[in-house]
Amino acid sequence: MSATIRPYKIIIFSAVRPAARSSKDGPPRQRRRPLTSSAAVTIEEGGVSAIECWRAWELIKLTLPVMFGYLPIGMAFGFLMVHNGGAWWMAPFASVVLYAGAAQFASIALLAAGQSPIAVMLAITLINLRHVFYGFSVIDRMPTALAAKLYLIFSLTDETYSLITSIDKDTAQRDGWRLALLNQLYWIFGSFVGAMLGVGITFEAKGLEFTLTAMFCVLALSQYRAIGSVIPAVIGFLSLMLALVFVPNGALFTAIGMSAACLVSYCFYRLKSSPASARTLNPAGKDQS
Amino acid sequence: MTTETFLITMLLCGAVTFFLRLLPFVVSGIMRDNVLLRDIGRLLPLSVMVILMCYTFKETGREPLTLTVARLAAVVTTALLQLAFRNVLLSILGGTLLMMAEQVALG
Repeated sequence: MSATIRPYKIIIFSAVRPAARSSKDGPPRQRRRPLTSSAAVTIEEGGVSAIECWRAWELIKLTLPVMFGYLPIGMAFGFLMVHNGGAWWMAPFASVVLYAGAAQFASIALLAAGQSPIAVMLAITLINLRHVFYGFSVIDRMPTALAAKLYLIFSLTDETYSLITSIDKDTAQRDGWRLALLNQLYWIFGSFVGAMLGVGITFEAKGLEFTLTAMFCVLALSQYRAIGSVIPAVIGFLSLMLALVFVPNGALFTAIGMSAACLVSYCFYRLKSSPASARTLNPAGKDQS
Repeated sequence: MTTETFLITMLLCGAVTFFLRLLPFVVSGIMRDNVLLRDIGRLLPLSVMVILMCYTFKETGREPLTLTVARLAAVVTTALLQLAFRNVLLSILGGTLLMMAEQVALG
């Protein structure tokens, strides 16, 4: 299905033309007016800005579930960044340029453990490896404008990906990048508020550093729920134990690398031993032969 | 962490994450049906989260045993809260408040 050409395509928060609007003026004059930009329409007709607001609200409503997740978790991120020695602006900055939930929390822990930028980057690559597959299922939902497309690709987090794939294709093509932008704004705002809270709490509260442990615990549980297997958890735990014994100074990065190597062997073995069960993991249902 | 380290790290991480997200649009077909890569991408985050969580216990052995036990109790509480209510904020707050209370109790 190709994108339907609509006259209001370039209007910011483009609204469906409501029937009520044409009743005000004569319909022929209304039809001939070129709908080229939201600014022009807003100046000519007072009623349109209200319609744009309604359209914006429709989009915000779609992102509300993400907002309820992103605001508190973003706050936790901002707070932890400050609590682990970061300046107030660091959390919002990370949310602008990195914008990947679990990876951002991991980067705090890795930076606080004194890992080098390259080591952190490699660890983040492994954590975000799953993003390599998100693009395939949204290729036909991408906007045509290059800037909008690039932004939507940049901001394709787990939650935005779920949102884009759950709405109809036309809305995704037209408003997908706006939904993505709203989501990132919630995240940045949450990080900022959390960082401010972190700066505000100046007293030495023992036990507060546990929020990072709790965050990783919650993230691990949600990952477990998504894949339904404890094997990666066991591999991770054993890797860390070995790494702490043999490479105490670079334990964190060594453990992540060891886990990756073990999981590669595990997945490879599983694929070889029973290709049929591996095929069911593919949601597209394509024959792997 | 120094400001320079932070900025370099974040820009590198941001670039590599964008590259990963961009990859399917550049090389569609080559990886699309790669089951091995897909599985690893799905399973690896759990390993990493477990490693990062356990790494916050790194003072075990150098700190009083009671503190380690207190931290374990807080982790179990966090996990149970998350399993019961599936509310991220509630789980983190509950676990952290318990940990802080235990710290006060231990002195």
